Amino acid sequence: MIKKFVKDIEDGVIKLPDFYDKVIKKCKAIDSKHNCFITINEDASKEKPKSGLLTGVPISVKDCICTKGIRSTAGSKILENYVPVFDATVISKLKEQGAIIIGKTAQDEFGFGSFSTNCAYEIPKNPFDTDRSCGGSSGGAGCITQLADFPHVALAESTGGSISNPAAFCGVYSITPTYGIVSRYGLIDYANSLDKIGLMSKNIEDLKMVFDIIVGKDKMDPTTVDYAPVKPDVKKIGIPKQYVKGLDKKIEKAFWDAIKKLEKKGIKFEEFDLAYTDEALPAYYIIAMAEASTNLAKYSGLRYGLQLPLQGNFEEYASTVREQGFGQEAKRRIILGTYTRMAGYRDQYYLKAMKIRTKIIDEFKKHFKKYDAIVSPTMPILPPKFKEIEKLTPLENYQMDILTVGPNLAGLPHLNIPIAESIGLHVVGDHMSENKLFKVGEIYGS
Amino acid sequence: MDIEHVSKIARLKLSESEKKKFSKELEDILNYFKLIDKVDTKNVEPSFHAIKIKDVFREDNPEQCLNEKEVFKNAKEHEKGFFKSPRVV
Amino acid sequence: MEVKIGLECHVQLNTKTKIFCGCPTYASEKPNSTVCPTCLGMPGSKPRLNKKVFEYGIKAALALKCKLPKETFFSRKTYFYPDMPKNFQITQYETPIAKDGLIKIGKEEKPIRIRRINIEEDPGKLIHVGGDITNAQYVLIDYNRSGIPLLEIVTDPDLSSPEEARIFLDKLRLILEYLKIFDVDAGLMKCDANISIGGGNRVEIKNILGFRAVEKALKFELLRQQRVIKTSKVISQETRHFDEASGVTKSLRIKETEEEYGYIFEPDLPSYDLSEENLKQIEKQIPELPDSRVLRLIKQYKLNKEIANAIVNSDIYVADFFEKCSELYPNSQKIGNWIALEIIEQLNKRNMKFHDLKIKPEDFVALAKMVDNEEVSDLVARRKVILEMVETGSKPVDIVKQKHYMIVKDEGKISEVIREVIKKNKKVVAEYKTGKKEAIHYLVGEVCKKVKVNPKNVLEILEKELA
Repeated sequence: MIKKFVKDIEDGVIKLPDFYDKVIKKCKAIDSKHNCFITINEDASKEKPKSGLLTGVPISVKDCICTKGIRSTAGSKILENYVPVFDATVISKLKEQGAIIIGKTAQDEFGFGSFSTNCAYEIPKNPFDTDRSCGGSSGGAGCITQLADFPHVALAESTGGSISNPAAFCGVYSITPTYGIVSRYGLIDYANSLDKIGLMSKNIEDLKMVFDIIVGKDKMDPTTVDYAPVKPDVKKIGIPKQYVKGLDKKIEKAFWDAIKKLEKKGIKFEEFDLAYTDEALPAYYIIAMAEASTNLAKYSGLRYGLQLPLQGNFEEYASTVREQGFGQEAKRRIILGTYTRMAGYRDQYYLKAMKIRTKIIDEFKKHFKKYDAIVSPTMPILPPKFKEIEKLTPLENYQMDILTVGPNLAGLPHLNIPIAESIGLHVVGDHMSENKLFKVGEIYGS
Repeated sequence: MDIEHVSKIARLKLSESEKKKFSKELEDILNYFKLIDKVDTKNVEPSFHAIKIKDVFREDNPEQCLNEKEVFKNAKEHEKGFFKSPRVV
Repeated sequence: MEVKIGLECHVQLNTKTKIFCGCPTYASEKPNSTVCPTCLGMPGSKPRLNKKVFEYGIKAALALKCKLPKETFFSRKTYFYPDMPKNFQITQYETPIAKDGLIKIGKEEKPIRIRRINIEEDPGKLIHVGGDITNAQYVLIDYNRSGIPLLEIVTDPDLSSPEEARIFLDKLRLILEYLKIFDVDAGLMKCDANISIGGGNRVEIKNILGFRAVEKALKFELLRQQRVIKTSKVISQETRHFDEASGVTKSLRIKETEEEYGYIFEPDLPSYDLSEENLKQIEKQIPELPDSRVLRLIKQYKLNKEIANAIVNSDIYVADFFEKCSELYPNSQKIGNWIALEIIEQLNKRNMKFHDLKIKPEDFVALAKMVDNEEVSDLVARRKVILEMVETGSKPVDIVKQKHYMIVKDEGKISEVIREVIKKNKKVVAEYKTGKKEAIHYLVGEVCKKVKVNPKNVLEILEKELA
């Protein structure tokens, strides 16, 4: 879709100001029903984009990715009026190719959540059913990607599955790249060793195209590495037994139908035992919360974000700002994260989890010697109603990530393929094997 | 977990009801975390990143700094070019 | 009573840019002008390690004879303070860049063990408005210093007195100066000092600014503790603050929330290899260090140990000056003595640095040559000319001319003065002529009072005149 659109722009068939007047109107209409956006870029029609691979292409950006001059809240009240003075590297790269930002999408505060219900602003509602969740934490991105009837790619972010999850619930494609091949410079951190910026789109072609633009080692982020693509050969795919038990019946059916479809196209499948699937969740959360609790320390009412009248001493002031600015889940994670790295607990939680990560990476690597990819359903459930989510305990919320945390912990690339309404097929590959994942997506759609 | 102590370290003021609610929730979560005890990690090195990243440096060359407008863009209070904070102690 | 002192020094490394961002390190008049998203801790910003900082850390580690790990990485030390832009400091906790080194100090070459060295970032600077740290109305913050690269050097409690602590710091500063990783003029140095006496509780004095202040602070604290013990009270383990203006240490009496730093690995930075290869490369860049230089000066210039020590341990310019002079003049011992005993003494009296002197080796050597040629007496050269050279910065040759310190050799002039003296001292002359030969020495003395002259010459000419 994008290729043709860019050609139309360059040929003058589509006029940008008119196009964006309509696009922004549509975004507002969608937003009023679904709350996809925290901020809509009213000035989009005034932008004069550079000429490139994405001239005039609309891009939505998850609100935790810094956009210069456009409010970026990461879904939190503590950054309610924060306007970054620099662009994230991915934003610079996209602007360099002529992309235009239509708005900042809604998310769980700092990425803390699986249903976007921890968004401190309006909670995004599922594109197919406004009583249900979009998934999370990149809920707004999933929603607008589904509902946009104009060329569009969403920039989103995943720490434990926050791109795949809403992509599945909202019925769109998504790619979560290998850790380190997309720069995190300008990404408001949740957990630095786990965060990845990725994409959502209604078609694989656009996904691939924008992916190629955003990957690459960045001197502004020392945890980036060069992307070393592999051949898109896909012969044999593994199915972890642990990932296909206890599923919702609809999901089970959709999953095995999808497998059959791919088998007919010549791909071989084999079930296998994946170790540590139970332990991956707690290991993930311990690492994520420990890192998050340090990342969130900077929000203390100085220089940016929520600031109150200066009273008392710094300790009292900071505590008051943080009490007012953070939601419940953020507070829980800060406390847990602080605890698991305290002297006396650090070895049994933080360091232990880091060691389990090693074992999980090795376990995946072992299986990728045999399989070109592994698959599972993306989510264990269908999009729940908001009423149902309210009844869940925090722990029950965490357990929604069961199918996505392993790959995220190991920094493996993963693709969501929409296979039925609000149901996704999750395709996971070895580091740098995005080409294989895209191939599976193409084969499925052919 | 001594929630009072940990929240103080984290500079989080919790209300009494929050402390109560969190106590139970966090206890459940910490119990769940015990799952990791099952895994044998003797002689296993911790992985601080998913992929091995090493030796990335920046040359010692000056780069562009922010201008005054940018520095204070998001600050509510500033005085004579300084940021402001409540007293320390 | 046994005194145990340990020091934790933070030394600013002499790089063009900060440790984790490209902001310049020069001190700017304007607050918050050498800052960027990273050193302001803006959300989304990331640290980027300055290569020079890493190399300087390794240089210091090697020079202080430390052990280095095969791999090092950084840690986050989380605590809340308004000068900390992220409310965590990026430092090194588990893998300091070096451990278990030592510095030898003093004549007895007492070894002071270096427990560890690590690199880390400095926070911003606070100004307490309308009061001090405990009762200010509010605080102003300048983040220009945020991110300045620091080397933290921690000793074992091997120092036995405040004076020893100063000697140690002087030696440390000298080594850093030789390594060219610390700007002795502009670079900042802060210390935390720990002191305990007679096995009692340890008191920590935090944030002492500058080398001199450390000795002052420790002297006061030692006295204070001795007084406390005399009144048979017990020293409590606490943290104190040194007020330079009044010269006293004060209890902070802060109800400090027991800090829990909760160290984690810094996930925005990779790990760094310290392979044999790397280290060998950097080791090649390390110049001759003070201890080696002392040995070489003794050997090469036949200096005695005390003189060599004085020259080298003063500062790098003194030793460089000595060697340059020795290139121009063969009698290194004379130059060495003059520098070590005369110049350094005068500099110390005036609290001056050799650097302030601006004397050229050629000009200094010229004075030595004048003494050799008996144009100036050795005594005058040492006691008068050098003193005035330090005081006024004038060239020795000029001083000798202006102050008429030249030994007069002109026989005519000498005879003139002799005749004057003879006229004025008829009695003594008479005594001489009647056989009291020693009387001539009085006359010699009188002549020498009037004119700079070699007494031997005077004696000769006098004997002739009176014959």
